[in-house]
Amino acid sequence: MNTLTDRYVHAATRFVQEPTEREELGLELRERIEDTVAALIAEGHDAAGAERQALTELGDPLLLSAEYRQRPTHLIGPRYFYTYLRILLIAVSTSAPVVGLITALAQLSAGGDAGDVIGGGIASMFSVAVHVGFWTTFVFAVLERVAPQVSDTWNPDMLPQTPGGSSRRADLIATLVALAVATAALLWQHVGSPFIGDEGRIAMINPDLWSPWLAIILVLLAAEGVQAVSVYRRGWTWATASTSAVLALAFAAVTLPLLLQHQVLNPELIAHLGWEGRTEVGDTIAAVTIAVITLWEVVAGFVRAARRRGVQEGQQAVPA
Amino acid sequence: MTNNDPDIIAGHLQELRRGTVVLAALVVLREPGYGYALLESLTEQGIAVDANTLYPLLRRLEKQGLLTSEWNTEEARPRKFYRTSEAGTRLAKDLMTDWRRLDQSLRALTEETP
Repeated sequence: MNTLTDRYVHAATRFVQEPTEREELGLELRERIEDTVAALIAEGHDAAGAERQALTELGDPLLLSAEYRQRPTHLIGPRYFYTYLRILLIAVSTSAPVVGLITALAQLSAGGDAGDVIGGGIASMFSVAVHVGFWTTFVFAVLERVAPQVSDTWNPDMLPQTPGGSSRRADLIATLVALAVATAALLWQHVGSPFIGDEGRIAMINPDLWSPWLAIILVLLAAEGVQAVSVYRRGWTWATASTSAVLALAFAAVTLPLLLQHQVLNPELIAHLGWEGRTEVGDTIAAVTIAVITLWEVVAGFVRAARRRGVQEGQQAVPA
Repeated sequence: MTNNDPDIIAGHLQELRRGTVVLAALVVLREPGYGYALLESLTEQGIAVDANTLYPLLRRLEKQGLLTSEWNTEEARPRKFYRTSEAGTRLAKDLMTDWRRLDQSLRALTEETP
């Protein structure tokens, strides 16, 4: 016997793992279908037509089964939706560019041409984004089904800070201190280097770079200081974010080629320490770090500007 | 602005009636009954309910301990008979009280507004 009813019951119960539950669900469906069919026949339908109509009213067996068993018919429900979205965004937007950059730099140091560098970077960015996206979604889809229903109570302390206010002053102070330390370190490594050779102190950074590169870096550090004050005064706007991006990119444009051509460390110092041929990896790591920080600065500036604008628009929408 | 979209009206009516199906089922099932018989008696009493709503609802109420069930295999076809539990009877009483209170409040409201 292989009636439409048999097929329907099979389709609705075949994914139920537990045997007693599967049998019970099958019996319940059969009872409902047969009662409906009997009522339709009593109304004057023929047997085949009645069965067909009864099953049509029941609808898709998998949906019906999910409704009977109170199983979710969504991948990720309201409980985790925003957590999922936030984590997905953070995971993809941080991992993909980092891996893309590292791949591009690896291609570059292996002597690849522009096509290899750009193509390799984009291809690995894409595949990382797909992997991270898939696994994040997978974990949340599993969580949706296995995590017990506990209400994660929200409370007002979880609200994010509004942009501006006291945190801006802290940002300014931190930036100015960091710039001052960087400037001091740049000068100190030249005049106060702890490495002493036969002919006096050996600078850590190649002294040939002072004209013009290290001078340009000093100018950029000063410009960053001015920029920090302007952000403190005006907040993150598209203008300050753009200036910040230009400065960050200029810094990277000066330092990255020098690092990748292994010109930064003073050859005299390398010879003095006997490190010949062992500093290239360090150069690459430094280059990647600078690239990541640059990217971070560029993105963070625009994100803050966009957020602030969103907040302002929200405030304007409220009638006074 | 008037909106006589039948879908919108049907949606609101459904919202309004949703809880009454639970109440009616708990009251009717003080005498044991099976799905299709309950569906028919509710429809006869003017409480319109869709089979796709009622059957899963019975399962849910059983899971919540408001109904108990038993398979009746005496007849040609096995049928699952549901019966309102003690907890179900108490809930039905509470729901009924609330329904009457709501009815009074709504009456008072409609009398106040001309």
